[in-house]
Amino acid sequence: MSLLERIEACHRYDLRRFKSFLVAGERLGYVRHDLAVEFGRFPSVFVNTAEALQIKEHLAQFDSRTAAINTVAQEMAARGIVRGWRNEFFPVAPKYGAAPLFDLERALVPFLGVKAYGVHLNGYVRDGDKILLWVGKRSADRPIEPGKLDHLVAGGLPSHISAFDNLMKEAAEEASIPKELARRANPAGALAYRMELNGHLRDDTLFVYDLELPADFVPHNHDGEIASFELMPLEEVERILRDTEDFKFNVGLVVIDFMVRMGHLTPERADYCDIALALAGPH
Amino acid sequence: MISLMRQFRRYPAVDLNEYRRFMVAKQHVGWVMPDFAVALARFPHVFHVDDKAVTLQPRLRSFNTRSEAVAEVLATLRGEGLVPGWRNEFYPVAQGFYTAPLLQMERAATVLFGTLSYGVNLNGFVGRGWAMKVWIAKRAETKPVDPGMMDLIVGGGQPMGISPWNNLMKECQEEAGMPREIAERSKPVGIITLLAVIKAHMRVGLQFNYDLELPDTFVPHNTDGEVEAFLLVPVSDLIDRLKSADDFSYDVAVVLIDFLIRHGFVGPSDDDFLDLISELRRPIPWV
Repeated sequence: MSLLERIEACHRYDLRRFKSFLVAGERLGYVRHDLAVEFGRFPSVFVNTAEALQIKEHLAQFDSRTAAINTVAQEMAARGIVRGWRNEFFPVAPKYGAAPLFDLERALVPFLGVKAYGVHLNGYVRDGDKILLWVGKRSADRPIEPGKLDHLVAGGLPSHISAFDNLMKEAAEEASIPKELARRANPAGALAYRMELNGHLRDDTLFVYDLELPADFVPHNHDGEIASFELMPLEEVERILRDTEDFKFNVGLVVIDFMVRMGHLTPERADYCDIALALAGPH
Repeated sequence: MISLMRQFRRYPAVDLNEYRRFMVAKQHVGWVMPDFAVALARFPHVFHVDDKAVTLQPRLRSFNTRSEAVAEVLATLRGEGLVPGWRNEFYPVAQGFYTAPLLQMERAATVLFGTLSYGVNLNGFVGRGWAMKVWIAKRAETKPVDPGMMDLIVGGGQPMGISPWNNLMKECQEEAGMPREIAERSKPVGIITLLAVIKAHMRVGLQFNYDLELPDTFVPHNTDGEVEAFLLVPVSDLIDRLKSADDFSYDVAVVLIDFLIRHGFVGPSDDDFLDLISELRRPIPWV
């Protein structure tokens, strides 16, 4: 798969398989038609019509919505419909930074196709003009994309923590980066994508950070989520992205953006403009 | 609210329904300004004009015949004062940068046909983090576009027959008197796109951007008369200026906002962060 196709794969979906998920009249996500039926089995919380799945209007407050939806979530997990319970709440809001309308157990985020956010860190080392990227291999027991290649540090953004604080926390847990080093991480933009994955609609925005690491730094994992780390020249990262399916589905997006920003990809390539525009998404 | 979004609100959103498509060889390659479409209708042997489109006559089949026919029309319209700011410089007309151009056209006319034009830009800076200063140019009052406005240390249109890199090297020398061995340390850092109607010009643009960390001993000096002065501006002042004033050329403001985001001066904790990013690289509006 070319780099361009790798990006385009993160922007592919067919809304005919989904219906809108509405809260207080506002569309917050997309739910697969057959799953909307499952939510509809809890009529005190959800109303499933031909057009949309909605939260009952009497659930008008953040607390009552969160509690009622969580009860349904637990029941759906008990019935085996929802797997991979995380015990982690994600905020659900129409827009980043807006007051959340409710908090949702992370395992249900793709079920309702609501917007979710994450942080990804390009941890790199310079060797003269060359750039090497630290790449992690995800543990075999991860609920999502086990065994795939990943960033040095990456994670979903739960409720009640800022993107930067979450990055600091993950940098310590996932790669044991000393705090004074991790704090040098610089925000470098954000990448949004909407795609179908495992039958769900993912509507994600990744906050991208870069961190130049000293040549003698060696990461080691702390929380069991990463099995091993390797420092790879960008040429090798590019080859793996192009020739294999080894990287986690959304990592390529962030890494290709890094390659553009660091001048690893140049306007001399005939697909340069297409790659740069594809990273920005179809809008 | 004071926000960098100000820069994207300087010109009203373009309603493309008000413009006719410029079609060449069945490809959509421009959005024609309404008054200009009326003028082009007087040359039916070259242009077919209807409510939706201005179509180059399909009997004009080659790059040369198309270019010559259009040049003839433009020479006449120039005589009537309808093509201001004539440059004697040709720009390619195509859907994309890497496809063979369908014709070439006088640069001054590209903003009337709304064809896609390209440029190269250099963000020249000194220092890192909040100690960074950015070199800014004040455009000469004699420039045909945006006279007297604030600009990057180096930037220029992308003409035919030269690569973006060689064009950048040339502009570094001409605009900033930069020695080649310094200019060559420039790194490509991506693109931004533009779509705006500014003073009756349809600006459809794609800009190739480069960053260059300059030694603090380097002082730019202009050699082609296009720059009145250079200023070394602390990055925090630059941000304040972009939030509160419109003294930068529009395309330059967009390049600088991309620069500020890539270097982490604007991040997830800033209001409008995601809105700013979504403005930087809108798709080129070909149908």
